[in-house]
Amino acid sequence: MKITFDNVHHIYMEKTPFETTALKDITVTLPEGTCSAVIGRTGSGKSTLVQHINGLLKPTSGKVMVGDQIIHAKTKRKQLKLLRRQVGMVFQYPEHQLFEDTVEKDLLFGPKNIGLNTTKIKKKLPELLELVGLEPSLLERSPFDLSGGQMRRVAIASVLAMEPNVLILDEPTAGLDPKGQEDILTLLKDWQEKYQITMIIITHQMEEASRLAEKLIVMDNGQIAMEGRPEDIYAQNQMLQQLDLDVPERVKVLKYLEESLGIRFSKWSLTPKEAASELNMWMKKEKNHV
Amino acid sequence: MLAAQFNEVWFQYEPSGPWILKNIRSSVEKGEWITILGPNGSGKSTLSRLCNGLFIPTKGDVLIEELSTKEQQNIAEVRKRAGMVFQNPDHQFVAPTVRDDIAFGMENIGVPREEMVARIEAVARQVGIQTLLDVEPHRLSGGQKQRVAIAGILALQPNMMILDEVTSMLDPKGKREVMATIEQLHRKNGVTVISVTHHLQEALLSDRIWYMEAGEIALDIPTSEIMNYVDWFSDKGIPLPYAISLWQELRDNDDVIPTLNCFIRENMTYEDHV
Repeated sequence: MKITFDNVHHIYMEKTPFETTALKDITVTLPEGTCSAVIGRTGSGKSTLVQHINGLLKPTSGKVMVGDQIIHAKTKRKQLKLLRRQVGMVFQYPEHQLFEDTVEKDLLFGPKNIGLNTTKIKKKLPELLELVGLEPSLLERSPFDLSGGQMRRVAIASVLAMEPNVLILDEPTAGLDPKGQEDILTLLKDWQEKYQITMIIITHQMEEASRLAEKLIVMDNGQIAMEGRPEDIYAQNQMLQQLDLDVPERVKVLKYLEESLGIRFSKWSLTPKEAASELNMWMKKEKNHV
Repeated sequence: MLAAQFNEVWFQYEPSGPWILKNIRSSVEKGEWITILGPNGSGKSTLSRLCNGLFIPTKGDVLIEELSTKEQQNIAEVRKRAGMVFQNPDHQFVAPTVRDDIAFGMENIGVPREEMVARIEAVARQVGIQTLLDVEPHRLSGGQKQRVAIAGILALQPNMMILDEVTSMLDPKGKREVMATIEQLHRKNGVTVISVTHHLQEALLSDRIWYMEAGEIALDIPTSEIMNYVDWFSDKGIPLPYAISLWQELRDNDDVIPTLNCFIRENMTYEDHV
């Protein structure tokens, strides 16, 4: 589903001494069937932005369109019910929300809650677990016996079980070890490719954003500071530094080599192997010239 | 005097349970910075928790500046000399303001009031939180919270700091702030550091690397030799920083390696990047 923000403002605690403008004049489109990443420092408005997509928050002014549903200041709670079914949200540290005594019950809680047919979903659970890289035999286990990375995957699966058309994830790899992070990224990439859903991830890590997303939205102080393809955004080094964001290490290294050696790489997304072979080729050519 | 000694240390959580640590024999010099790497479940956090008496060895001894953690009467002194900071910045606060939180540890060991006031000012300057002393901890960023936790430990004037994945829950800016703080305390104040991490990049500044596997120290090398072990680390599935990975591909290319070495050297330190 295509998601469009049209001139959205959001003010917390309006008309009280604690009034804060969290979003200012947001106009942006998240294309259907692709992954977009929202980045920005703590407090820049990333979470506020995405919470508008499933109607957890309503705009103070302006409107949000998710598919053909429109959310504005006067939208009634009841009208958001359908939206909640279509938009799945994985919060930060989602494993803190596991509570049932078996993995199976936890996975069925969400679908039951939104009124889906659980007998049908129950049959699909072993397959779902395999898709997120877990043994189907875990269904009978208590989620609290699992490792951190496994719990995270169960929590993500519990949202996937509702088969959302739009999937929002708030820092899905935070606090995991490198292997756990890698597993989650692969799982999300595979899921997105398989089902072609619209995915939005919030992250601090440029590296992660560039692995998953075709579009980056950089937030600063409630506004969109930059938006576009990852490659184009990396090129704006100074701007990123001002926003406390890190250029991925990969880009830093390649730029450093370009400047020191006077060469050009074909793109910023080279693997170390590819970069090495470009360097070797370039050196050979240079020597032949001399 | 050694900062810490592990004399044939074995550890299990329950009498019939598996051995989490198996015959650890090693020591840490005063003023040394050790990085402990290793997969989940390899025993690295457990080992760090033996350093200030949070866990007591099942067999063998852990000595902190020659005090055995097995002797109950040593524990208070051990904790004064070896302070510990944990992974989750939200789990370490007990007081309504930063100032009170730093004071909490000192109250516990009976530091007189005037002395406390002076120490709070001093440690706040050291970790760069002087403007935050009257703030409520929950209003701080993750990086600020971890630096407050470090300040709380520093106020007890420890000789050693044990850091258990202290940057893993922070954003890039918070990570840099905390690493720069540790770097400075180690270099300027000679604090002994034992830091547990998953990131090879964070190990580059330390003096020695221990790689743990299945409850044992499988590799113990001076960090200066790290480039000889690049293949070893990648075989173990430790993600290499991009520059080191590229170095691995190009190591025979004399035209590029000097430049790459410069990059790696320049990017080791955090202090310049805050």
